[in-house]
Amino acid sequence: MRDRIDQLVDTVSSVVLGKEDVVRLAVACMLARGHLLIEDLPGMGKTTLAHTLAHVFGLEYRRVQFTSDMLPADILGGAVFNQQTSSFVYHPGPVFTQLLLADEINRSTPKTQSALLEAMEEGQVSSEGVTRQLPSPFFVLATQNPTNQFGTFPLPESQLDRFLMKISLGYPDADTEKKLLKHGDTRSDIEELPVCIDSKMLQDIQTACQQVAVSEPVLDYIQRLAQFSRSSEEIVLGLSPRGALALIQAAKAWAYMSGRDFLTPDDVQQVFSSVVEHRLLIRKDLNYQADPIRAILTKVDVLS
Amino acid sequence: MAEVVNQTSRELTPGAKKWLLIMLITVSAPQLMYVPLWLAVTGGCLLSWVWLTLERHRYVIPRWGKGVVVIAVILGVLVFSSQSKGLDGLSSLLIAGALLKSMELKKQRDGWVLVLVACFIAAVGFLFNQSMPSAVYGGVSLLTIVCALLMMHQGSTQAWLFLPVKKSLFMLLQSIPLMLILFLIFPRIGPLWSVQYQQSTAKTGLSDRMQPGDISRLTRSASVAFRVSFTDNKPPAPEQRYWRVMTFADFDGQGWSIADVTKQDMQGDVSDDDLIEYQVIAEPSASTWLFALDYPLASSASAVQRYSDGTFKARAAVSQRISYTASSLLIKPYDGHPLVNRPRYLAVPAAGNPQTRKMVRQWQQKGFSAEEKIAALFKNFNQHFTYTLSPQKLQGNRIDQFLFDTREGFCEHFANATAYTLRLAGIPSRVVGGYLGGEWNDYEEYLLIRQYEAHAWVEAWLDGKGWIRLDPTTAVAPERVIQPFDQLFSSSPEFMADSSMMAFRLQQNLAWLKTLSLRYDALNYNWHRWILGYHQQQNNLLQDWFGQISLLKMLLLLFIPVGCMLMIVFWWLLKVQSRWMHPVDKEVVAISDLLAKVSVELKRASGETVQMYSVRLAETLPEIRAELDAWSGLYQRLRYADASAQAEDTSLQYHRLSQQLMSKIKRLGKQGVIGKGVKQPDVEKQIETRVW
Repeated sequence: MRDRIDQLVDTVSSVVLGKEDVVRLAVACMLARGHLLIEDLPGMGKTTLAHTLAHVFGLEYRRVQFTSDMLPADILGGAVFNQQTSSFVYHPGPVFTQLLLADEINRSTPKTQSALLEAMEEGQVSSEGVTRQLPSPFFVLATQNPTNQFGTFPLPESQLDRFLMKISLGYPDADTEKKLLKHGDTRSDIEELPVCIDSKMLQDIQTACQQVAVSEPVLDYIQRLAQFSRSSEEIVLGLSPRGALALIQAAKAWAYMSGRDFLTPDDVQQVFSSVVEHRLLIRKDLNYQADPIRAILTKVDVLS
Repeated sequence: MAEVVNQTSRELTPGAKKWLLIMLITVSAPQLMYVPLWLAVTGGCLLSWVWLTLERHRYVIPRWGKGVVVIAVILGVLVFSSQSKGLDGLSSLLIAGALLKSMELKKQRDGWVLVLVACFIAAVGFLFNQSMPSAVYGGVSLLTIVCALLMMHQGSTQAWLFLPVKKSLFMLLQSIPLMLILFLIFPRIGPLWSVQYQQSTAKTGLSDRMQPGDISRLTRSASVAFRVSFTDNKPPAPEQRYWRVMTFADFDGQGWSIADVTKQDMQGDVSDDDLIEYQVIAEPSASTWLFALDYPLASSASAVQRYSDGTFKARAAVSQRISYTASSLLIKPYDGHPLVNRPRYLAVPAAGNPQTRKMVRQWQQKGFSAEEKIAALFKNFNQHFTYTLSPQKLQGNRIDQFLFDTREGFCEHFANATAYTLRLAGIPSRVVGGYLGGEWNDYEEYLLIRQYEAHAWVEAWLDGKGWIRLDPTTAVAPERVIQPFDQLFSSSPEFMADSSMMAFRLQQNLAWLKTLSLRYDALNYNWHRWILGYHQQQNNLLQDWFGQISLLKMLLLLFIPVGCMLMIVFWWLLKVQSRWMHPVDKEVVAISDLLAKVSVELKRASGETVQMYSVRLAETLPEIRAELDAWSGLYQRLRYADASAQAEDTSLQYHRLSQQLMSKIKRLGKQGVIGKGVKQPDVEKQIETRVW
């Protein structure tokens, strides 16, 4: 199954050029049953990545473009009066899908953002007093613009917490960009990509990831990381226990992708930044040169 | 808090239980002779049973059985301790409690209780016996206690027998400096309460009443009465070794009893060349008598009181070994004081012993002077009397019977007859009880006086001369004075008839055994003098070392080293954080340290995983890339893989590979390969290669 994962990563990388590391992280996030938040400036290929991922996993997906006038019912669906039967009939919203592309999620109001909350956490939607199960697997791939842009509503911390990882693509390097310019828009190619992992296999892989062994030394290391983040003076709010659990969850998937059935501190370090960064509140009034998250990794000893 | 609770309720391992039982047996063994026999037997059965349940889990004592045993033992011990006054009761109570506790050894907490009780039992043992062997045994007891404690806190059950012994021996050795410091400078505080000693049962050669003829055979004991060391390391001549203990002044026709005497000041102002200064270490005797060389002058010890008859007495019964210094004169000049209470020293019953009275009348008629009377009596002794340790019994007119009929006896008979006769003859006299002789120990230069060297002699008051020592025994058996007692009588069956003397006799006949016994006694002497009696020297010693000692100085002396020690411990504990490492991790650190010696850049950074580190090393040291890869792979498997999948040989393999790596690194370091073109150790940069 691991070669299928590699194949999948290669496939996605053929569309999202020069970002193999980010692609791997995104794949790891999905293998860990986590929701993914992609934050970047417009035009960096966020939506392309999301599209490609949805496609190669062979998942049924819908895309919702979030706008500031959007209402929860636009996502969750609502009751519509049927004149023929003279009754209200529930029309499922776009959330009833295996993979929801929430484009520019921070353009909508907090009210609408929260509508996604229950869906992401519980895998179900409650509307009009009826709880409806979402299909399984259910992912949310959200993209957002940096919060300092105009017309954005920053996601509340509680909502951010529900995303396993937050990644960003960044500008491509010179060679890649040249290649990209040469090929033009690759979006049309997405539809022609093969499905690398079907949903049955995805579930198997997800189970296998879950079973990656975590030894005491690694648990100690994660605990030390969490502890350090809480006592660091550059960080206002440290890593919560849920954050630490998320770290293990993501690192397990990474370990599985690296071909191991046990977790090492290397795996933890690999996923650390993307899992932890959006969960911490970093002090902004001080002009630190070094990245405080990077500082955690350098300062906490791997060996106890 | 939760952790503490967790610990106390942790189950004891079988190894720990076994050690607790061994500890219990070791600690209570020396006190077996003080506890009632039934308790010893019950205890033995109980402990064997508990041990058996450890080996085989079947034989568990039923609940009601436990109840019966507990009630029976408690009742028995209560009855026993209510009957015994001394320490026996206490010791039995302790031992019984510990034995019963051993039945419910389950949790860590039970083990702790048992360990504490064992410490107490071991300490109580020193109340019974403070000899050198018992001190050594105390060390052994301590060892088993530490072993038990160690096993209680150790998870491993393998090698439960010797490993803890080794470890606790090491621990005890480490504690020796502290022990020495405490021994040397810790102030000796008097006991807060006192316990009844039962050592008065020790046989002594002296009693407070002398009644010759009552017993046909003298009870002789070879136990030590006291030891004396002399300031000039030279003992007085054998014929001058009269050790004065008590005087008998009152005669009732049958025997002599101790005179009531008044206290007297020490005669400290005498400064004479003949003055002999010495130190006495007296064994406990449960009486107040003390020993002094005739004629005693003064003693510097505050516990010693001098009396008007020239004897020393302790202010309280000698229940523990005491030591005191004293000075004596061998020949005491007459100080010119007249005899106080002259009639007392002349008093005899009005009637009885007609033959003796007749003999004295004859002397009076012949007009003998006092000296002539004494000479006549002694001549008579010399010519017609024999010295024996088993004389015939005397009845009725005992002195008549002795002087004119049996004509045999030992020192008491002669002293008795002499004093009586002299009193009849108008010469004030009294009997002196004490010891004569002593065995000189060349190794440590002290005189050892045993109980069988007890002696009685007479002092007569001669006008113009004062009290004069008269030893009638010298007239009969002069060799008794000059030769050591044991040599003199070792061949005579009556002396050795006592079964307790058998070992002693053997000792006297075998030269090497005699040497050995002298050596052992010398050792014992030092033990008593320097270890048990150290509190008497402590002040002097400390004064020599540190000058005038005050309480403040003493405390400083005590607390500065202790403080220093605590600081060291504190420092060590702070440092130890990096030390408490998994052995597998330790080897990583060792390799990192080894490389850091060559080039600081090659040291592992704290945020660097072993995998990253090995990759980085492989870049600078391609020579050992293969080893490094294998090594880090093994490391990961050992530390991070599922524990059940770890095989013993993986860790061995890892260890071997680490050693191999280290030796290679050393070799490369010598060749100067390492250190050239070392890549800059930018961990930040490295971590930057992680995905962001």
